[in-house]
Amino acid sequence: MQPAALVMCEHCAQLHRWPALSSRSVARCVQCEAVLGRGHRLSTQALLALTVAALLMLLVTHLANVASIRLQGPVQAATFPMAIAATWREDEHVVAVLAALTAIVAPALFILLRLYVLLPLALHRRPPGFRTCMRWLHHVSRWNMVEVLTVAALVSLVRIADLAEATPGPAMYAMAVLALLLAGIESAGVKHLWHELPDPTA
Amino acid sequence: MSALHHGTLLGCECCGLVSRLEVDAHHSICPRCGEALHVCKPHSLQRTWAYLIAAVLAYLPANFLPMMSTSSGFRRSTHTLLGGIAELWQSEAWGLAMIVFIASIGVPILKIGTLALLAWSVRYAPQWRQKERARLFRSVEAVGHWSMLDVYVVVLLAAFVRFGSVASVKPEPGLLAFAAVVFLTMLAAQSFDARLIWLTKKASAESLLRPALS
Repeated sequence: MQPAALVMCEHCAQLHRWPALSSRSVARCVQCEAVLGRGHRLSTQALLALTVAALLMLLVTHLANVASIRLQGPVQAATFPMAIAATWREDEHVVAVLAALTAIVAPALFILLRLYVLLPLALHRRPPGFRTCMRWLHHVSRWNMVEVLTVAALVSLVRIADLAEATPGPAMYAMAVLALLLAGIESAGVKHLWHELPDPTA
Repeated sequence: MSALHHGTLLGCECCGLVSRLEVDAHHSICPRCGEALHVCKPHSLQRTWAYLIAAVLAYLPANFLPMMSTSSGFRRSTHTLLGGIAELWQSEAWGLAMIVFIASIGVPILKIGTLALLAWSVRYAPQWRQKERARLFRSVEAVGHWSMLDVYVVVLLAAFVRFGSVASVKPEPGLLAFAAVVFLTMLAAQSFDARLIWLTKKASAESLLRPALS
């Protein structure tokens, strides 16, 4: 894992010589103080393990019920994709698409693309289409909003409490764990993966 | 603008590679990952202003139109953004009421105001508190997506409360306006090139290879 010799601050174009970062140290830009890099890098295997865990949590988040609501007799339970479908049926198409993109598509791409890249790297192979995957990974992370969805689910439970009896479902817990996992995975970044490619000339 | 850059070097924000730009070119493609490289994001200020103005226009209906309507029995009532926060406050969920207030009212207003200030200062006060402005931009980028909170809340409520004529929750047009504000401000932040804050700083040859840790 050879570090690049130069790094340019994304926020102000200040050029720096790349230092060897010890664990837990943070390199900041001398001009604008933006973070250039962190030294707590997880190994490829550790990242892979976290990403697999995140995939499982993503499946629970979107296949299990977020909450079940009881109003006198009848009980109503809903998963998040069902909520999106209901919004679509109410003719709020734009809102349904935006919610699906930020809470389902973006985290799914975030996890699946990482798995696709990390698995071959852990086996010291170059994943086909590595460049394209890395560009997508770079763009997709800003649209992932699972942590916001988690708080929104809590807020909606409290707001229902006046109307009916609400019980949190498995997806509620899964999305909280997923938000933490994704934050951990994201803090490791993706730029260092370029140095783990088996063929340095590529 | 060329004073901003170290001769012809450009950093890739996707893979981090620093590469050399061809003479007189303003953009190229990263040789390692293929991402587009720009000396400065194209039409950065114009696009930022355009998204900001659109966000302000969407902000008014987002606050005045109802976000959702509830019906229970024969009563049907509509709820605006502020109304929803007031309901949370009244049901003694003060912490959540604060979170929703900050995320739905505070963040969009601060974000629009801050980005307008940043875009204005590039032209009219280029050397004013550059470090603080850079920090301000980074914090706006970091908290921006939290305004999506209320959109999710309404989407979830509409799915949970479907008891036909007994009780139901439906999304209303204010929701679309609010989602538009969230995305327009996110696009505005993405269009703004933070390097513009440092436009007037002359890049000298000595500063080219300063150590990163000071």
